[in-house]
Amino acid sequence: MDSKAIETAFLDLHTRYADPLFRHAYFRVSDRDIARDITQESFLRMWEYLSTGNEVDNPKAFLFRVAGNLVIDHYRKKKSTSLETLQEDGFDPVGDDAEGITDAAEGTHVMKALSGLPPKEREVLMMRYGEELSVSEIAVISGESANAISVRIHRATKRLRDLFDHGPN
Amino acid sequence: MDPIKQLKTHFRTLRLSDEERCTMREVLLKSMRATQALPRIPSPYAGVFMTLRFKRVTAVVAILAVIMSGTGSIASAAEGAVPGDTMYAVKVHFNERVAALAAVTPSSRAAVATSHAERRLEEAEVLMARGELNETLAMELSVRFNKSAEEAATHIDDLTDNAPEEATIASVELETVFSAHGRIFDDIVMARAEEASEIVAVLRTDLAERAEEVARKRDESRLAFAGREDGKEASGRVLASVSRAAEDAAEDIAREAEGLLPEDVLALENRTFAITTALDEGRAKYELGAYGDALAEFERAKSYIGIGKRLLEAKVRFDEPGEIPTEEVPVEEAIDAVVAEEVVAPEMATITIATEMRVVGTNTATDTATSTEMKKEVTREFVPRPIRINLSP
Repeated sequence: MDSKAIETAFLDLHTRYADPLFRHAYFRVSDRDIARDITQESFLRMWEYLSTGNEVDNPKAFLFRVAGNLVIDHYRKKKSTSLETLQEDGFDPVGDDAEGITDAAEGTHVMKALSGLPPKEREVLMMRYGEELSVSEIAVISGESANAISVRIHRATKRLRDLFDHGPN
Repeated sequence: MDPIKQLKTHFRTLRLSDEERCTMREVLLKSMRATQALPRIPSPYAGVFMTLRFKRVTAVVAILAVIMSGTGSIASAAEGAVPGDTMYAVKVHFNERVAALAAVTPSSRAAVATSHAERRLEEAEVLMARGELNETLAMELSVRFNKSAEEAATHIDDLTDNAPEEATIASVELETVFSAHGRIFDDIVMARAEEASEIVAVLRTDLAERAEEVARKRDESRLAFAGREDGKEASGRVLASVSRAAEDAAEDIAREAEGLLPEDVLALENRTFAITTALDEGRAKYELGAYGDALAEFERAKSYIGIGKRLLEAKVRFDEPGEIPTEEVPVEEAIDAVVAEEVVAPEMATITIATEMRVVGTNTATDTATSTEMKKEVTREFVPRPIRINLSP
């Protein structure tokens, strides 16, 4: 593979995973600039890793793991707004370039319902629907069995629907 | 709107802006060009295929083993196995690996992965119908099903850019599998209330999510198709393929209609009408040069054909003799109706009604209650409902 083809292949990974990775970081750090930096840094670290002769079997899982570690590093350095605060206040997802967001109020409602879930269930729904990870990928990243993840997604979905329809009580 | 759909929509609005994306790509390019070494970049699909090399080696060894030891009959015997059977491992670890190895083009790989996903659904249906689907088996099926469904979707992605008409046919096929088996699941669960556990619901949810995902992909491939210069030729090929399938379906329907109940025959006639209508509308749009719209109609026709074929097969496999219990009326409504009309004196009124005490539409519970008591505890008898696959379009 020549250098041009390698660049294209790597940028293809960026095209596919930048947004899900950005969401992954954003849900955890609640800061757009920091989430963007974490996304970029994850790709740069993957490139460094590959450049030193290492191979990556599953690039998506690799990127999400690196991003997860960078989020932990971020919290070690600084405390920040919690996800719950973010969801209560609502958030501006794309800043000025938001297009086609007609259900902002409903979006806030569903995010509030999401924040009412136990942390593990919330996490798994964000990974499944926010970061577009498959059950098996979530299992690899979280170190749990695919069965456990499947059941948790199902329970969380059910609980979210209840919270959404009937509120916390 | 369903909260899960809202959640997905809301999550999708959170993305990098075009400017942020460009800036990030520039930084990445700069960093990449500063590096002298040329690393091996993994495929975005590497996660799915991380053990592909191992699988191919294993499959080749397995083929040799069959040739040398004449165990082909074992492989054949394993075809009917379901999870929990001794031969099931041969079916999934040997037979299906050989099939995957034999598929060399993206469309044949998509077809093989689709077929494997469908086999998992059929196995779940057999186990449900027998009342043998426990949590462990359902989980095993769920994991295997999701893996094959993901593989199929990946191969369809590969086809979208280079062969949109093949991508269209493959994605309709995949979506048809999900839709048809979703209906078969529901019909079996209707008759097997005791099996409608959370774990069946997990499988059903998987199925619904996959169907939604593949419908999105189908729309994408149609868009890719609409922008092509050879739209006329490509949609013509889809038309030819769907027309052939429609002719075959008409023959199958005519053959299978013998011996069916009148309502099933009527359902098949309605399906044939729906297929013909979609094809005619597609042809008309094709003649007008609206190839994208024509394609949508051909997809609809193909979906009617595929779902009908599977429902008929399921009918042969699962339909059970026996009377379907009479109409189901919620308790309160029935009692109110009787009292309101003063058919008999309230203290004398004894009515037999079907209730919704269990999962709606599953087993029919027959209650005898008096209108004065307005309660359901007098007698309660569960009448098992036979499996009936609904053939309506």
